[in-house]
Amino acid sequence: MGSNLKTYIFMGIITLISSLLLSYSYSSLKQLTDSNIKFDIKRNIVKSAGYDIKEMSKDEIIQNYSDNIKEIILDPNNQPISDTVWDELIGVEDKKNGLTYFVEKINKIKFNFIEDKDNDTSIRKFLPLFYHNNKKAYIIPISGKGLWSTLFGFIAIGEDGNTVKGITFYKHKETPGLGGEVDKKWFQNNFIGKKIFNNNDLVSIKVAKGALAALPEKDWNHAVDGITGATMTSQGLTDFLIRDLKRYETFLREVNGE
Amino acid sequence: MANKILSDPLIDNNPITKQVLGVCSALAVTVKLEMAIVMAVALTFVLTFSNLIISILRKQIPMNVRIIVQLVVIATLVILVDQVLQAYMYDISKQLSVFVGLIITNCIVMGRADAFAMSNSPKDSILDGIGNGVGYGAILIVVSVIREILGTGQIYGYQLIPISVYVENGGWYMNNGLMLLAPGAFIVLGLLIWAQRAYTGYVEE
Repeated sequence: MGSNLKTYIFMGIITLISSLLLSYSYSSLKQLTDSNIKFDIKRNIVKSAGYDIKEMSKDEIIQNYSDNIKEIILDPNNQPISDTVWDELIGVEDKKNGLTYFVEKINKIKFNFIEDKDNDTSIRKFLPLFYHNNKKAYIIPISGKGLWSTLFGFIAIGEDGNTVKGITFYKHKETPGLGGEVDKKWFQNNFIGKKIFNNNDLVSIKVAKGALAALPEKDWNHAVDGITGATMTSQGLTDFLIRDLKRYETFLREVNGE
Repeated sequence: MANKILSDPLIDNNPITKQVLGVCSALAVTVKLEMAIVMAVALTFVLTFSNLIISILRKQIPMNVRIIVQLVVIATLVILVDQVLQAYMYDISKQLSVFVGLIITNCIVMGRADAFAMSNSPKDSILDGIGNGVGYGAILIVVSVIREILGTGQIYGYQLIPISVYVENGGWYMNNGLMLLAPGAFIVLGLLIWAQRAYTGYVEE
């Protein structure tokens, strides 16, 4: 009994010290970490609009963002909403398909537990997007499953609601050198100038299996070269790109019609 | 004695090439030199301080829960490192992803805590921690240099192999994609173990 008591006391003290230390370090570093995450998002929004962020300092990127970006919040029917702002929203990933839903921060935990996220109506869902004044581009968040992981990124669509201005991925765990090539310039640059509408249909951009040249010429405006050895990542990207663009279809058509 | 504790794990008793511990992370984080260096520093830090703390506590730790105590100490240090990386080196911490957290289960850390720090003085334990951390880090760095050069033609992110010799620019050279995958790391690590054992003459019994 005596030795048991000693064990309990020892473990109690050890875990107490450990938890105090970690809560202290977490709370004192939280501000820095949060601002890193926020900056990472801003940086990628600016990048997808068509800037070479490697050539820009941190301050320049923040300046560029605050000068040019207008944050727009839509409801699921693509109607503009003015009673909330981007800073109040948080993305929640549906682990089944990698789709990101945007909800108010206070609802995050509750929303996480909802099984059928798509049909749920108890929690308000939003569709944020960003307008870059200078590049005249609408920047839409995209996310979905590749081979190993969920890819998160942005696609920038021009004023016509049709022409792609840029695409970027800021988080994924695909194989470096294969699926990880989605990070590379050559791959992302291939999207620039492509059209997401074919006549009146939203066809999105298809990542070809192999070279673009193997596809019929009529599809060249709506497809890009695939990544050798990364069939699953390419297919996943094709699938979630059209799925996510469809969420904004009404909005894009309105822009297109003006 | 003190010198021996520090230098022994560098070559003769290297945790990776001799004891073949910590191989999982050695495969995972050696795609780029930058990642390998950060990982090596992180592991050396955790190993040194876990050795120190456990060595100080060694006479108080109840034997029946010693592994749990070691885990609490190691886990605390690892989470601390992870938080600092996220705050000060966000981009690298994104690339290292889960592997910083997995230092908790790295056999080297647990192994040194239980096999050395539990029965040696704090001073020797610190030396042992540094020695093993550097021994681990050295292998990581060698593997990552080979993989980064052969796999991407770069070193520390700088282009080493001239762009003009690549096939897509009309040259003859291609990067070896295998080097970017885990099997490439296995091959490089296997060759290193071979070289090291040929040098020290060590034979598995």
